[in-house]
Amino acid sequence: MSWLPKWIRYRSDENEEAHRFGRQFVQFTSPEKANHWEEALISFEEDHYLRSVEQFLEYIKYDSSDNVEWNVENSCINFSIRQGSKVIYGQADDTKVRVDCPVAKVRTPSIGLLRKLLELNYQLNYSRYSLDKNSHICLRFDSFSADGSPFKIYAAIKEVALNADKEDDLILEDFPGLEPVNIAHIQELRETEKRIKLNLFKQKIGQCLELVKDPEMNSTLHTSALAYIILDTIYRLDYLTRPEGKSMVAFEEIQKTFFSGNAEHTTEKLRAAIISLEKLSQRKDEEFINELYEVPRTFSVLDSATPEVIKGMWDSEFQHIDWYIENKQNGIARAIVGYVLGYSIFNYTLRPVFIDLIHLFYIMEEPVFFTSLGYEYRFLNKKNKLVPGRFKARIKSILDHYDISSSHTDLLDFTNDAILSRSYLTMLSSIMANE
Amino acid sequence: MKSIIEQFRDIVVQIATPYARGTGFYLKDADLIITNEHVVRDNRSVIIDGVHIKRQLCTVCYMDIKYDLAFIHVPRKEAMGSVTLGSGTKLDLGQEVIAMGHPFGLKFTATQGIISSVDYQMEGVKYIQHDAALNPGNSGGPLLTTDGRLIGVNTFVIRDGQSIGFALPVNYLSETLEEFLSGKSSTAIRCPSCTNMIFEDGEMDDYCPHCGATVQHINKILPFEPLGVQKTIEDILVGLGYDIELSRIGPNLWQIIKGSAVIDIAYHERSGLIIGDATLCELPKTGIEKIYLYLLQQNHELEGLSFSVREHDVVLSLLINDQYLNKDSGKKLIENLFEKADFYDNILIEEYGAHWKSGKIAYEEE
Repeated sequence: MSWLPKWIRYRSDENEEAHRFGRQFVQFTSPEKANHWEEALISFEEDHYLRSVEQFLEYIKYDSSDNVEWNVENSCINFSIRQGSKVIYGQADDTKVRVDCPVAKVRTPSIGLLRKLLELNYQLNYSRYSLDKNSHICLRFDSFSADGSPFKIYAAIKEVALNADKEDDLILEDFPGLEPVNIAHIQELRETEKRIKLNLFKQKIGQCLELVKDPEMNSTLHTSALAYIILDTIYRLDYLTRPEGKSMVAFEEIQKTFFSGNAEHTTEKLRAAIISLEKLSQRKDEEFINELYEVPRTFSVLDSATPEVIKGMWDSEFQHIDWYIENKQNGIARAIVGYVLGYSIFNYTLRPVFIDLIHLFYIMEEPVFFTSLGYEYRFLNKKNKLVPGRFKARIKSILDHYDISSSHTDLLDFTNDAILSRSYLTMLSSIMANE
Repeated sequence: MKSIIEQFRDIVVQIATPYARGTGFYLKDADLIITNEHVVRDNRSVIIDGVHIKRQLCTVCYMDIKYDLAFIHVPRKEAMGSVTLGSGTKLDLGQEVIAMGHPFGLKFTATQGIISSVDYQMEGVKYIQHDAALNPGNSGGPLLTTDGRLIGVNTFVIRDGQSIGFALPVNYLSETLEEFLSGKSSTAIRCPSCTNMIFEDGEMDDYCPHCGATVQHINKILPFEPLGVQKTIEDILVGLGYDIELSRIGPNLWQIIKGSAVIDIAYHERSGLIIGDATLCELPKTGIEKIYLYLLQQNHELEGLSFSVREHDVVLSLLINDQYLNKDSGKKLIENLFEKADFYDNILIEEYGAHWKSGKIAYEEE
């Protein structure tokens, strides 16, 4: 676990470093990293292409991780970059920069696979799928060094990394004539952990489908309430189980269904989301289990957003949360809080304090899941119920770590679960306002 | 419907300017191309391409903001059929209509729908409201009855849940043509304020001689001047020997015909990417796996280029980042794309059974 960023490891008192959740990690933000980027740009502009590439690699390498390796020999840099289940190999000299990422080996070519790769090529900007002499499907990028600015190299390698990491699981599941390549670095999860995550996955999707398809519930709930339930479920499952492959793509597709700009009615969107969830629920256990593994990453799939944007999104939901609390539909009120926090952590690169506090929110919401994974929390009693004083103390310790006033915890209200969730979001919004 | 489409396909033309792309149609009796004013706005000349009109630069001779109409003079064309103007044709709600469009870089489309209003009013002009799908770039195309009479000029769309199209009724076109053709000069505009037609003749100022409102005369429109990366791209294309005015097919879009390949170059300002797509040929009907394997294997050997498939076309693409772009490196990269496009299309056709790309008609019915 040496590649885990520092901020994750500080939670040693809670024994949480053995597991990671969600898709967040801190990227190249330190002053040293900024210097490497600056140096890469200057070197490129002065036509020192090798030094530019070397400084670029320093920039994307984590201090605590072996996500990037390279060596310089005979005026040529050979490097490798790890992204999820894939390894990207590169070579740069004064004339050319080349990057290659083997995605899978073709035992039996299928016309559907070949067509898919060629269609994907039209969507890609910098890179292209190819077949090498050993029948490996590779995602490649190359450029003249003189045309390979650090901006272009960054965008191109990120495109290769994110696409290869995403597509390999999908094509391996869809096309049986393929076999995986370069998977030695993938760390298997413990069997018990996989089973716990599988059980949660099946349980949550089952509960969600039961609720949104129940005619009685359907007639009494607004369609927007059903949407909150579905979105809360997929964000929650993504954070807690973090599957790769088809499940991850299904979560992304369901999100897109709700937030795409087309003018379908919410009921149409709900119908499409329910079909996707049903398909997920019908998959074999092993198919989901195979999507659970631990891998190092170099690039993030998340977008950046200003504190104002995120806070604005949180604050806009308070009126809806309050309406459901007033109308004694506490479950929906909690789902809205789950939805807004889940949306934030699923889509945006957040500051570490918010990642820690949203993680704590999920422990509060799903104590049985976390304790069954072997975690112990002083703020939970033997029946996994929250002990308010200790819970506040836990939040204060997180805020102290980031030099944030602990007075924000005064906003918490433990009257009932829905009001606590609402007040937890109020607390986060208050902290965000002071960012 | 098919015979109507075939008849009109001959007279429907593609129109492009450095600012916009749209559709037009040739009226034999007036010897003019008809389109929307917003398609040709801010241009004295535009590119026209059609079945019987070889790609050429043509002069805009009439602009009318009020009715969103424009006329274009075409010096070189082959013989074309005439069209029956449906002036005075009684239109009914629910009546079937056909909308046609052919913007540059996109397919010819003919879509069917029904009339939902015959007198939708906007700013004092009545429009025919219909639900025949209008694709981007279809502005200026004809609206027809199912027996082939021209009843309107497709002008705008409201996309609110479902697309609703609006066409300027043909009587506005007939009246405007009559007034224009009986005028004292071959270039005119309509004052957007008093709606009088102003013929451009001799010395003109920027004011309507009838009401004094500010007007934009066609002869006073300044030629397009590319800026920044646009300028670099155009300098590269000029350096490679291409007629730049005939290559501009829309905002930040250029099209080059090289041998049998059509090469589209697009500059995306927000991402800073310049993408060159050479459409080489169409996939064969049989033995496709062999050509797929060849394209993917070539992708491993090629440098800086990528083979892909878009619908049924084989495309060879190049990407250039606008940062640090200079004429020398850009010229080398684009020249390489042109050469490789010319090289590979023959191989794909002779050895892998691909077909030359044909002007395909997409029939879409609503």
